[in-house]
Amino acid sequence: MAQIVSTAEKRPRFTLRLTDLIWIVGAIALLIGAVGMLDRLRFGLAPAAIGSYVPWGLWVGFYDYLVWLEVGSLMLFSGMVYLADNYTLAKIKPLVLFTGFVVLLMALILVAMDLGHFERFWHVYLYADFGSMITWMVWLHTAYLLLLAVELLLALRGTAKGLLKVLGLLSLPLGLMLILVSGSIFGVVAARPLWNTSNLPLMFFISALAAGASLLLLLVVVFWTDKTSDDYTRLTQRLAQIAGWLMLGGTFVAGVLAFTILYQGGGNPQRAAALQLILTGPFWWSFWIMHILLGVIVPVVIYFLFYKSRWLLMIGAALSVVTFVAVTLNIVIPVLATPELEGLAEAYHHQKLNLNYVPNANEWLVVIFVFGFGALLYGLGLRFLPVLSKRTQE
Amino acid sequence: MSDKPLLPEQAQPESCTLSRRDFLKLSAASGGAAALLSSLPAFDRLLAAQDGAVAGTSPLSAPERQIYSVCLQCNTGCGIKVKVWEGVASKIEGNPYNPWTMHPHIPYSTPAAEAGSIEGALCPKGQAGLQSAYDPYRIISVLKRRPGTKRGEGQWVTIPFAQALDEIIEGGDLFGEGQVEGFKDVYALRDAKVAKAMSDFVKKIVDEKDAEKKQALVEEFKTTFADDLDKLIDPDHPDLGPKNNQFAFIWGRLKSGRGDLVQRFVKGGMGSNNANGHTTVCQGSLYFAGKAMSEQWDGSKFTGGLKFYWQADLKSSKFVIFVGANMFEANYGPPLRVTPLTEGAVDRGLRYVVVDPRFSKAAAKAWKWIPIKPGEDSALGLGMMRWMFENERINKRFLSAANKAAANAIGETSWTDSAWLVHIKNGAPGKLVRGLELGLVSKETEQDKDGKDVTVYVTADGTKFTFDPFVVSVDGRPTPVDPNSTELPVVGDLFVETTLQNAAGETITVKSGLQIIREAAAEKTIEEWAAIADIQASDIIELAREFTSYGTQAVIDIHRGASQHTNGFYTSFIFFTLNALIGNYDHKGGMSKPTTYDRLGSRAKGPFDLGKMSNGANVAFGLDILRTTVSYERSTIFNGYPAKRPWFPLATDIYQEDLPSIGDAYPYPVKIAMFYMSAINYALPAAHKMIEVLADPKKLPLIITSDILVGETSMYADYIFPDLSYLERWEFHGTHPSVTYKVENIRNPTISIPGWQMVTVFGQEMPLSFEALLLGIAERLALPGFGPNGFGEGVPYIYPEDYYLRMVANLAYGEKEDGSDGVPEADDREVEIFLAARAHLPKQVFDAARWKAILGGDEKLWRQTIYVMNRGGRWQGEGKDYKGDMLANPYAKQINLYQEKTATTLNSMTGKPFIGYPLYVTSHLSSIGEPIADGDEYGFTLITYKEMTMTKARTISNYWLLSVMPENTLIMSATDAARLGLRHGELVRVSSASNPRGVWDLQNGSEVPMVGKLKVVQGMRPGVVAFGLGWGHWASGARDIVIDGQTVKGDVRRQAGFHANAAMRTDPVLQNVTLTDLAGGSAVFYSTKVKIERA
Amino acid sequence: MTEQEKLRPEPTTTSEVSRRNFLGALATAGGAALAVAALDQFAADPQAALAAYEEQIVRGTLNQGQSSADLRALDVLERMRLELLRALQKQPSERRWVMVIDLRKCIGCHACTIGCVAENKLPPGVVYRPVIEEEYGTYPNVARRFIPRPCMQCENPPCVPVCPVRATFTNAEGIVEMDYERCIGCRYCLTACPYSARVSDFGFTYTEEIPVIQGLVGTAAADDYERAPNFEYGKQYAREGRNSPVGNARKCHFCQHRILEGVLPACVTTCIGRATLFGDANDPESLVAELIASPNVLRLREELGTEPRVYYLK
Ligand SMILES: Nc1nc2c(c(=O)[nH]1)N[C@H]1C(S)=C(S)[C@@H](COP(=O)(O)OP(=O)(O)OC[C@H]3O[C@@H](n4cnc5c(=O)[nH]c(N)nc54)[C@H](O)[C@@H]3O)O[C@H]1N2
Ligand SMILES: Nc1nc2c(c(=O)[nH]1)N[C@H]1C(S)=C(S)[C@@H](COP(=O)(O)OP(=O)(O)OC[C@H]3O[C@@H](n4cnc5c(=O)[nH]c(N)nc54)[C@H](O)[C@@H]3O)O[C@H]1N2
Ligand code: SF4
Ligand code: SF4
Ligand code: SF4
Ligand code: SF4
Ligand code: SF4
Ligand SMILES: [Mo]
Repeated sequence: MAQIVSTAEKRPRFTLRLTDLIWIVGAIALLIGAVGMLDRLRFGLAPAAIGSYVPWGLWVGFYDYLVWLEVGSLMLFSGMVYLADNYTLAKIKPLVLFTGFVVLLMALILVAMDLGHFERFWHVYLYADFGSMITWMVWLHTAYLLLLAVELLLALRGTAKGLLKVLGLLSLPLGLMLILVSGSIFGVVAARPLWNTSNLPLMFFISALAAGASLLLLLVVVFWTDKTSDDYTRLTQRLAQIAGWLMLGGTFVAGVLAFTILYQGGGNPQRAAALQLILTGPFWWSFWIMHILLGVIVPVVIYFLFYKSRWLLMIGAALSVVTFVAVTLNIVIPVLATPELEGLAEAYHHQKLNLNYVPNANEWLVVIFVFGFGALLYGLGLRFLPVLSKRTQE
Repeated sequence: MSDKPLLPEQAQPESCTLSRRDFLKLSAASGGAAALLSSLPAFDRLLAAQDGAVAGTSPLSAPERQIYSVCLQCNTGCGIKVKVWEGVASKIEGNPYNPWTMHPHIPYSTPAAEAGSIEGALCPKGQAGLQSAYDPYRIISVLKRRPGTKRGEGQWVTIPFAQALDEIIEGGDLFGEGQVEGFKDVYALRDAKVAKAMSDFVKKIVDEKDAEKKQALVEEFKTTFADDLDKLIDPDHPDLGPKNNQFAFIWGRLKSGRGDLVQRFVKGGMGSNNANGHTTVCQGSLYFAGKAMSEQWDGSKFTGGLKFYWQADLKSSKFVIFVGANMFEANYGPPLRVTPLTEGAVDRGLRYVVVDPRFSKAAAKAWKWIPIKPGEDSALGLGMMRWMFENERINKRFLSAANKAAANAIGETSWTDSAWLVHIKNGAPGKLVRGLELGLVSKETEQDKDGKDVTVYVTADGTKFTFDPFVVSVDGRPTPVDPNSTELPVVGDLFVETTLQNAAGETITVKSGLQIIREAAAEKTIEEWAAIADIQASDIIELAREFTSYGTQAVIDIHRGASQHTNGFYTSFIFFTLNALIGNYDHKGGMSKPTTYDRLGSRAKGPFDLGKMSNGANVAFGLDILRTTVSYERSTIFNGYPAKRPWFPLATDIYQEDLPSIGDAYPYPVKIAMFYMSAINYALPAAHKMIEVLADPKKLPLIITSDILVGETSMYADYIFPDLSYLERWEFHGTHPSVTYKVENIRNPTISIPGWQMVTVFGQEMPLSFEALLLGIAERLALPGFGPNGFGEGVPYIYPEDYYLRMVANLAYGEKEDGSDGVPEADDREVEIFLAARAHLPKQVFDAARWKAILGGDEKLWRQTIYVMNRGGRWQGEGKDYKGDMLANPYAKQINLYQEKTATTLNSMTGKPFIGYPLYVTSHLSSIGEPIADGDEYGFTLITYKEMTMTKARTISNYWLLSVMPENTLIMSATDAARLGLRHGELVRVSSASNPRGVWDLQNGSEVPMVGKLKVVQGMRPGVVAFGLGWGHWASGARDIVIDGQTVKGDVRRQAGFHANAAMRTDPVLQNVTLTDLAGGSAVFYSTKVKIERA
Repeated sequence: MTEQEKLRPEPTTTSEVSRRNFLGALATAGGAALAVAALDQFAADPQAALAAYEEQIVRGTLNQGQSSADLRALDVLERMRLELLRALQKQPSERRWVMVIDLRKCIGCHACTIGCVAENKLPPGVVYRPVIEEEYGTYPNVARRFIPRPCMQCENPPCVPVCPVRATFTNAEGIVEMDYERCIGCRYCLTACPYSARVSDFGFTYTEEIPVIQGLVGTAAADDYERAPNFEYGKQYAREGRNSPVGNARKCHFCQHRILEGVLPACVTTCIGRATLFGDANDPESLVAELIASPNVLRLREELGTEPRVYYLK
C-alpha cells in the first residue's frame, strides 16, 4: 500500500499513469523482495527473526493488518451500500471489491509464509479441529475469498445485481465473524494475559472498521474521477467522519483497557509488563508516534477539521491506513516478548530463544515481496480489468 | 546420510530394519507372550499390527547396541555406555555397574542383557561427549609446520605418517631453519648395562656430602666411563644424566594404560628421566601434602609416600566442610559426588558448609557459606584447631595410638605420630627424638639367619628394634616406639613439652608433635585468626563445634581452592590434620583413599605380570628438568642460594616449570619435547610466558604434539600427530579418593571414525593414534620393551591391545595367584552381545580372533575378559566397601602430622629447611618467600573456578554445552560494581602488575585481549572477582588455520568469552613463571591482584 | 503412510493407544528387563516365564526375602525403573505418569537439559528442558535457585485445543504428543503454552557451516551424530533437509519412546542431583505418589488451571 500512497501523493491527477506506476513499482518490489522470499523458500523460517519465544512477528502483524483493511473496508462498504443505501459509494464497488480481493490474497500469502510447513495447509481442511480459532479463521477466510471472488466477478461483469446484493449482505456476517475470530485467536490464549480478554475481538472489530474507513476514504480521494462533484464532497466528508469517530472509539476502548490493566497492574504482572513494553519499551515510538500521533491524532484532526482539503484528507487517510500496522504489530509482538518464566531466555541460548525480537531484513523482504505482488496485481488489475471504468456504469 | 560411508568396509552394518534383538522381541511377542496375554481383548488385532510398533520404539536399549567405557570429558572418569546406531555413537549414558553414576551401583552379576535398559547419571559434559569425538576440527592426518613459516603462524602441510616418523627420528634441516636433532641423536645412551653402571655411580656422587670428595668422584666417573662420555649431557656433571634426558615427554591429562605405555617408552625405552605430568596445575600441593603425610618408616628412612590425597566418604558423612572444593560444578566429580550430597542433605540430615569466596552452586544448597578471603583458609583451619584444643574436642584415643599395634588394639587401622617427641632447637622443631640418644636403647650387633652382622637396638628389658627407635612419652616416661610394630602397642602422652637428659648428659628440649601443632594453632586468638581470613569468629567456633559433634562421621574435604596457593601445602596439611584430630581416617563417613584393582598383574603374579614382561629396558638416570630427582645441595651444579630456579625435593610433575626451565636451559637444554593432551600455555597461570618458549625454536628445537585438533599448544608444534578421541581408544581411568570401593574402569574403543587413517607399524595396520606414534618411534629405534619380542621372547608388543587387553585380563583374573577372585566367565549370550556390540569396529580396532590370541587363546580368560568388558570395568559390589564402621579399603598406615623428612629438606631458594608441621603461612609470596606488592591500582583479587559445562581447553567444541553457556563472564560483587560504576553485561578488561596491558601475546603477531563480560552478583565476596575456565580460545578451531594452502575457517562460537590466566602473577624473582608453592609444587591461581576497568 | 504411522495413536481412540503401549510393555517384558536367553522359555511356558521374569528383576536388584520396602536401599533410579516396569503391565489409561522435581536437590547442572538434547537429537535452538537459574537476597545472605522446566504434560493443556489440525493431543497415558507429519508449523501452540514449553524447529544443525577440508574430520563424518535418527514417538527421525520435525512445534514428551521400553526418561536417569523423579502416580506405592502427597509440593502457574503433571518440591 505504501507504494500507492507515495505515488498517489506525487501524481494524484494522472490516474492512468498512476496504475502503470503501481504495477511497475510492484514489480520492482517483487524483485527486491524475491531475495528474501527465496531464502524463505529455501531455508524455511530459519532466516526470519521470529523464534520460539516470540513465535509470531512482523508477518502475523502484517497479516492482521491486512485483514483489518480488507474486512474493515468491505464491511463498511457493504454496510453503507446495502444497509444504508449509499448509492454514491456503490459506484466504486468493483474498485473496492478488487482492492479487498488483492489485500486478502496478500494476507493469505503472508500468513502462509509464516507456516513451518505451508505445503501442508490443506491439513486444516482435512484434519480440521474447530476448537481452534485458526481453523475457523482459515475456513472463514477461504469462504470469504470465494465470496469475494464471486462478488468481484459479478461486479466486473456487471450482471446478477440481485445475487451481488445477497452476496454483499452475506459478506457482512462473514466479515464480522472473520474479524472477531481473528481477534479471538489472541483472545483465547490464557497464557498471555494481555491478549486474554474478551475486549480484544471487539477492539479488532472497531479497529478494522476504522482502518477500513480510512482505506475507503483513500480510494475515493485517489480514484474518484470528478473531484469537484458534490458526490465526492459528501462522500469524503461522510467517510472522514465515520473514520474519525471509529478511530476515537477504538482508541477510547483501548485506552480504557490499558488504564484498567495498569491500574490493577499488581494483579497481573505479566499483563502489566507487556503493556509497559508497548508504552515504554524499546519500541515506544511505534505506539506513541506511529500509532497515536501519526495514526490517530493527525488523521482525526484532519478528518474533523481539515476534511475540505483534498490533499490533507489524502495525507490523513494514507497516514491512517499505513500506521495501522503499528497497532497490529503492537498487539502481536510485545505480548510475546514478555517472558512467561523469568530467566528462561538465559537458560539456553540461541538466536531463536530470544525475547528481543526485532524484524529482520528477511522478514521485511518477504513483506516487500508480498506488497510487490499485491501492487503488481493491483496495478495490472487497474490497468487491464474494468475495475475503474465499471464505476461509471453504476 | 545415504551418500556417506557409514561404516568401514570390514564391519558388519546392522540391518536397518530389524535388529536381531528386535526380532527376538517380536518372536517373544508373537509367540510366548501372545499366548500369555491373549486373554486380553483385541489382542489378535494387536498382533497383526505389531511390526512397526515394536521395531519403532527405542532400539538403543538393546545391549547389542551398547559398549561400556569411561568418560573423559573431565577427569572424573564416570562409567559410560555408548549407544551405537549404525556405527555412529548416538547417545551416551551412565554405566550403572559403576559406582560413579549409580548410588549404589547395580550388582556386578547383573546380566549384560538386562543392563541394556538401566542407565546411570552423567553430567552435561558427559552427555555432550559425542561432540568431542565428532568435532569437525579434528585432525586426521599428521600435520607439519610449513617449512619457512614460524611456529604459531598456523601454516600446515599434511605429511604421511611414515615420513613424519622418519623426519623426527632422523632430524635434519626440517624447516629451513637449520639442523634439528632427531630422536636418533637424543637416544644416545642405548646400552642398558652402561646406563645402570652410570646410574649407580651417579648415586654415589650425589650422596657424597663433601664437595671435594664429590669432585673427586666426578673425575673418577669420567675415567670409568671414558668411552661413553659423549653420551652425557655434560661429562663434568654426570648427575645431569645422559643426552637421552634431552627428550622430554610432557603430558596434560594422561591415564593408566597409556600412562604405562609412556613410562615404558620414555624411561625403559628412550632412557629419559623426563616424563612429566601436569599435577601441579591441578591440585599439586594437595597431592604432595598427602605424599608427605603418607611417607612410611621403612627401618632406615621415611619413604614410599604416596602421591595421593584423601577425600570424604560422602555417602556416610553427617557433617562436611568443603574448602575450595567446587562440588556441584567441578571436583571429582558431579555424578560421583553430588548424589550423596543432595540426597544426604534432604533425606539423611547431612549438613555441609562451603568455604569459598564465591557463592558456588554448592554454597547455594549448603547449610552455611563462608565467603573466605582467598588464600587465608589456613587461618580458618587453625582457628578451628585452637578451639578444638581449648575445648578438648579432639579424638585423644585415636591420636595417642603411637604405632600400628596401638591403633589396631583400639580398632583403628591408621595411626599418627602426634605423640612422638621432636627436638626443639632455638625454639624450632627439628628432628624426631631417637631412642639411642636418650639411652633408651643400646646398639648391639647380631647375626641374622644368614649369618650376616646386623645392628640392633635393644632396650633395657630386652626389646629389640632393627633401627634406632622413635620416642614417645608414656605417662611421662620416654618410651621407644616402632611405628610398624604389630606386637608392641605404644600409647603416648599427647601434649609433651619438656626437657630431657640425653645419653651424653646434655639437656635437650622436646615436644610432642601434637604439642607443636597446638602451639601453632595457639599462635593467634580465634578473633585474630578470623581477622586474617576476614570471616566471623563465631563462624569459626560454630564450624569447630559442629565438626566435633558427629564423631568420626564429620570430615573436611578440600580441593584446589585450598591447594593452589603459595601456602597450599600447609593449608592442605592443616585441614588434613584437623581430620586427624577427630580421627576420621578410614572411618565410614570419614577420610577415604583411592583403591584400584591391579591391572599390571603384579599382585597375582599373572596371568600377565606386565611389570616384569620385557625384552630388556633402558635405565633412565640423572636429574630431571624439573629438578625433583636430586636435591639441590647434593647436585654438582649447586651454586649457593637462591638457586637459579627452584628445586622440588618434595614434589614432582611441576607443570609450570617445564617450559621456563627449558627456556632457561636449566639444568640443561632440551632438544625434543613431546606434548600429550596438554594445553600447557592455556591451562597454566601466567601461561603467556610459556608461549615465549614454545614459539622459539632456539630454546626448544623440536616440538611434537599428540592431539585431536590444532589446540592452543599444538598450534606451536612442529609436528602434530592425530590421536583417537576418548570414545575410540583404550585407557584405564582409575579412581578417586572418595570412591570407597575397589575399582578399575576401562576405556575402550566404542566407535571408529569412518575412513580413519590406518597406518603400518611393526608390519601391522593400526589406527593413526598416540600408540601408533610411540610404537612407530620404538620400531624405528628398536627400543627395548617393544616389537615382536617386546613382552619377552615370542610375546609381541606390536599392537596397542597387546598391552591393554592383557591389563583387562589381569583385572578379570583378580589379585589371587590361584585366580580364586576372578570374575565369572561370560556365558554364550554375553559373548554374543560382546561381539555384536563391536561388529561396527574395523578389524584393526577389534578382531576377536586376534584379541583372543593376545590372551594366549585361553578360553576361560577370554570369557572372563569379555565379562569385564561387557561391564566396562571391575568394581567391588555394593556394601563391600565397609567393614562395620570402617572402610573396607582403608589407608591403614601412618599419618605424619609431624614430618621429619619435610623438616630436614632444604628450600633451594632460601637454603632454609621447610617446616614440618601444619603452620600458618600467608599466601601470595614470591619464590624467595617474600610478600609481593602489586600496587594500589590492582585492587581486586582474581580467582577462577570451573563451570559445570566446561572442561579446561577441551570442551569448547561441544556446541550443546555452549548452548547452556556460550561464554564466561567476570563475576563481581554488586557492591564493587556499584562502587566502580560498572554495569552488568559491560565489557571489562583484566590486567595485573605482571600483565599491565591485559593481553595474551601469541608471539605470532597477534594478541588476545583479556576482555570479558561483567556479571554482577550478590554471591561474591567483595574485593574478589572470578572467571570460569574454558572460554576465550585462540586455537582449537577458534581461528583460521591453513592446511596445504587451504584456509580452514575458524568458528566464532569457539572464540567466545575470555581467558584471564595471563593476568595471573608471574614470580617477581623468576619473571617467567607463575607463583609457586615450593613445598607442594602448586601453581597459584587465586591470589593475583588485578585491575578491572571498562574495556 | 508407513506401517508405523498407521499405528500411531489417535488422540481420542484410547484403544489404539493402549495397543501400542501395550506392545511397549511387551517389548519391555521381552527385551529390556528379561534376559533374552529366557525367551525360549517364554514361548514354552508363559506363566512360568513371567514368574521368572519377575524374579529376575528382584534378583537383579534385591536379595531374596527382602520386601519391596527395601527398594529404598536402591538408587532411586532403580526403584523408579522397577516401578516403571510394574506400571507397564497395566493398561495405558490406568497409569498416570508424573514427574516430580525436587528443587532442594536440583543443583542447576543442566545434565537433564543436555541429556534431553542428546536423547532427542535436538538441533540448535530447540530445547525441551532448560533449567532456569535465579539469584536472590543480598550479600552475604544470598540464595540461588535452579528450576528445570520440562513440558508440564498439563491435564488441561492449553496448547492442544488451539491446534488447527489436531497435530498435538493428549494420549491415553496423559502425555501431550506431537504428530510431526501433521503439524503445519503455525506455532499457535507455542503462544498458547503458559510455560514456553514448546519450541519450533527452525532446521538448524550445529556443524553445517563448518568447512570440509582434507586433513580435518570436517562435516563429512562430524555431523553423523546429528544426522542419526532420534526415536521420538517410537519412530525414527533422521535429520534430512526440511523434513519433519524441521518446521514443526516440538516439545518434551516424557521420553515416551523410552518409557515404553522400560527405560526412564533421559532427564531422569541423568539427573545427578536425583532431583527429577518419575513414575505412575496411580501406583500408590510409587515414589512419585509418595512425593506428590507431601506438603511442600507446588506446581507452576497453577492459577491457570492447566493442572500440570510436573510437580515441584520446595
Ligand atoms: N566442570 C568441570 N569439572 C571438572 C573439571 C573441569 O574442567 N570442569 N576438571 C576436573 C579437574 S582436573 C579438577 S582438578 C577438579 C577441580 O575441582 P575443584 O577443585 O573442586 O574445582 P575448581 O573449580 O577448580 O575449584 C576451585 C574452587 O575454589 C574456589 N576458590 C578460589 N580461591 C579460593 C580460596 O582462596 N579459598 C577457598 N576456600 N576457595 C577458593 C573457587 O571459587 C572454586 O569454587 O575438577 C574436575 N572436574
Ligand atoms: N583459569 C583456570 N585455569 C585452570 C584451571 C582453573 O580452574 N581455572 N584448572 C586447572 C586444572 S585443575 C587442570 S587439571 C589444568 C589442565 O590443563 P591441561 O592438562 O594442560 O589441559 P587440558 O585442557 O586438559 O588439555 C588438553 C589438550 O589436549 C588436547 N586433547 C584433547 N583431547 C585429546 C585426546 O583425546 N588426545 C590427545 N592426544 N589430545 C587431546 C587438546 O588440545 C586440549 O587442549 O588446567 C588448569 N587451569
Ligand atoms: S563428571 Fe561429567 S565430564 Fe566428568 S567424567 Fe563424569 S560425566 Fe564425564
Ligand atoms: S506445558 Fe505447555 S506444551 Fe506442555 S502440555 Fe502444558 S501447555 Fe502444552
Ligand atoms: S504448530 Fe503444529 S502443533 Fe502447534 S498448533 Fe500449529 S499445527 Fe498444531
Ligand atoms: S522427559 Fe524426555 S523429552 Fe521430556 S525433558 Fe525429559 S528427557 Fe526431555
Ligand atoms: S539434572 Fe537434575 S540436578 Fe541437574 S539441573 Fe537437571 S534436575 Fe537439576
Ligand atoms: Mo585438575
